[in-house]
Amino acid sequence: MHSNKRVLIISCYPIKDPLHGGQKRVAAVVEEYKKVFARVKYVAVFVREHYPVYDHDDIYLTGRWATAALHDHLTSDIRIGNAMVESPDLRRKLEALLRSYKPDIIQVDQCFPYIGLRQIIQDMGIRPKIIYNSQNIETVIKEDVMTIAGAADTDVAEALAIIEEVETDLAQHADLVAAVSKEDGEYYLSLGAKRYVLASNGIATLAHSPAAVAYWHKQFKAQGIDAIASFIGSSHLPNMQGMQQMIGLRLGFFPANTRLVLAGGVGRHLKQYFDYDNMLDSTFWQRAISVGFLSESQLSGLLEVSDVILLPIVKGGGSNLKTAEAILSGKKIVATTFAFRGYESHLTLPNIWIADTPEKFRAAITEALITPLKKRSKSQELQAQTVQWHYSLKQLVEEAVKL
Amino acid sequence: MTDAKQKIWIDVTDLSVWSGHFTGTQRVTYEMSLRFYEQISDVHFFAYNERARNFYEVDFGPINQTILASRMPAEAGKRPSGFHRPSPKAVLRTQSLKAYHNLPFRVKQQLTPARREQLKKAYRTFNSVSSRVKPRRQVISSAAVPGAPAVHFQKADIVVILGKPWDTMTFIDVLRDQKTAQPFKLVHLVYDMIPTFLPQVFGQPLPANYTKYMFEALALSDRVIAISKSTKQDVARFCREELLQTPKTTVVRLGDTPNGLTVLEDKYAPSGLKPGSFILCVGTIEVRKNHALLYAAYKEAQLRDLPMPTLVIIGSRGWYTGDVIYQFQHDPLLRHSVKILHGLSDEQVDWLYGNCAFTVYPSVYEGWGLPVAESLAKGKVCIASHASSMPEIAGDLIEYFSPYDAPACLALIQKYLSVDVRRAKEAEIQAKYKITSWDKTFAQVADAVSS
Repeated sequence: MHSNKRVLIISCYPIKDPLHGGQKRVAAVVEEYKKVFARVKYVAVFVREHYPVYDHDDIYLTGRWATAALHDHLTSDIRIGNAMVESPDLRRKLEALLRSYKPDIIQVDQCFPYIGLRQIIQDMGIRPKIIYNSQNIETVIKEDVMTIAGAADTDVAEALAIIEEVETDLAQHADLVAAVSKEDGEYYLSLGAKRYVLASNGIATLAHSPAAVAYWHKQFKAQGIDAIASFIGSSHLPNMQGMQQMIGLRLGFFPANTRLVLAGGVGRHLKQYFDYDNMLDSTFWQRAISVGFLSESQLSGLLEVSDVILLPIVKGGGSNLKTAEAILSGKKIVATTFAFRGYESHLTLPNIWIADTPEKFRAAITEALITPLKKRSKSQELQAQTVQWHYSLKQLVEEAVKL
Repeated sequence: MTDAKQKIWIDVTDLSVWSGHFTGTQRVTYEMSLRFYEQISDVHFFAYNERARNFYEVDFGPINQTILASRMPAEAGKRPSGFHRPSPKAVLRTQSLKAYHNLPFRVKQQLTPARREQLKKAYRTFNSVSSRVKPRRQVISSAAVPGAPAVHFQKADIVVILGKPWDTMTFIDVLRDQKTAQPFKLVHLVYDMIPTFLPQVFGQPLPANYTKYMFEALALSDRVIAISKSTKQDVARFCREELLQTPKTTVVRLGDTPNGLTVLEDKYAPSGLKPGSFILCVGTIEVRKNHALLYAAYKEAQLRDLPMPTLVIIGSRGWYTGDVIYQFQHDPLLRHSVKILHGLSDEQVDWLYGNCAFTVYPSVYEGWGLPVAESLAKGKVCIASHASSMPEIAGDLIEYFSPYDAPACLALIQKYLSVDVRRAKEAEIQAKYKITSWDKTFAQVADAVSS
């Protein structure tokens, strides 16, 4: 499979040294495209203060557009989209890019860049094929984020109107829509898309550093911990909600020699939910450890030493990269049905507990911690391998080549 | 290698490091430990050494001896009648045994079993005789006996915690590690959950530390012994809210046997007090004991121009009481009606009990309420707060008030100022109140441990 076409991918964040799930997804798409397309260029239009590490093709906002996007973190992505047509400097750079690179295909990652980009394309009179690579249903996510942050109703309504309009435009007019789950795909069909391809989130092959594994073993052994259940997540709202709702702040159901290990922003941000005058909240850290932000090496080491991986996700769009990691790891998993969106076919694998109420979720954690790990068969192992990007993006790549 | 033979291990860390007057906790620990020592075979004692982060076997004998020595009267030869002093022979034997017990553990182990048993028996006899004396002051003995063997509990063992190890947070961590390695039976006596549910009446960081300790202790315990139904309910509530499994819980009744002293000689009267002219409030002067309610009741009496007896408050100072003590001591209309006394001798305390009109106990929360029980055991009327465990002590036998209702407290004080009313109630108490011996408490504890 090979194509001589030139692909331009535009997003709102750089992918140099990717950290969050969105960055990893786009970086994986770029890598997979490079295997089949003659030229692939990635350009991020972004706020430099939000992403200090970037590539030379990336374009950061300047002037008042930068200031506005920097300070309005709830809708900075919408502001980036608007800036593409409102900022003369930015528009000039994008027009120059389109003129010089002459993309056959433009892939918009998330809907936000398309807010401004569609106007530039129309004004330049060019007709590249458009791929909409969705990561979430953005209206749902944005409403939750803004509401919980206390944004004014009018601001929420205004932001949702913009996003709904551009998502609908993309669904109806893009040449190809990629969705991370069947539910998201169905949503785009309901907006008027003729079809969609499923491009679940995946992961790169896990490479465990022996030093990192040894480090974690030593740490936990020193504290008399025999088994750990890990929840790896950013402070992204759905992670926080899932943690509070499905696991909670009372961890007496964890056996005394086990711990909940929180990695990423979720542990740090959880602290704001404690009532320090309520002594019952003071026991949380008797059974929980927050290890903060970890390098890839430390993270993969933590996964390797985990007995159980927790996916208490109850909200949010898209599919969960952590689910893919958990599946590939071969560890015991306790998850919600929601967390397995996009990975439903893997639910037949052994060592997976699905629980959708807090009581059942906690009971499942306890059971998983004390239940021996079942060995996967060869075919089950092969099935688990398909969560890697190479497999999860296969349909997207094949369809993109056909455009 | 696992020793299949069951051993009972009693934690006496508190007793081995405590100094000063016994608190209620130390009193219970001592009374139970002593009876385990005297009545149960193959019982062992251990103490926690924080520096070494380990448990060490200790001999209860020297600990008991130190406690007994500290109970000796301050003014030798001036004990009231009825006080039983050990004979010179017994004292000599004690000194010999003390020398033996101070030998390094490994040296003692080299003595023949027969000789060791002989010495031990003689020592127990002495302790049994002399243990009737109420403690006055305890001197520290070291929990870390040089050369004592570290204790690693075995699966068949029963480990009993009677004291207050939450002062040393690593205690429970080490216990948890050992129980994970060898799942022995853990029996934990719980006095109350007050620091968890009423953190406002304690100084920091006690409430959080206590709560963390109890979280671990209840997670590990196979059986809990609660000192009241109220405490049992609080344990269950805690476990429910923390999503812990509630351990099987047995309620025991604490002993309230009088100390044997009956001191009515006025030479022990604190200055200015006349028999029958005052009411008594016994207990640590801390915010939880709610002396502020008594202040409010006395002020209300002034407003209504009601006659009030002198209020005698005895107890050492505890958490957050500076304000109320200041008010009592500097209120020009009250200061002569209130006496706040510390550091009294046993005889003085006993004189106060014997000569007060009645006692009052306005505490906002208790695990049990020993001053209520002690008052009744001495035949004295007690009017008490109806909070938590206190109604369990005497049921309908005495009258209660809300710890937040000063007029109700005042009304009961007024009621019992009547000599006739008081005499009638005292007769009823004499007839109906059943004193609980420490032996009976021990029988309940021993049952719970072995069940």
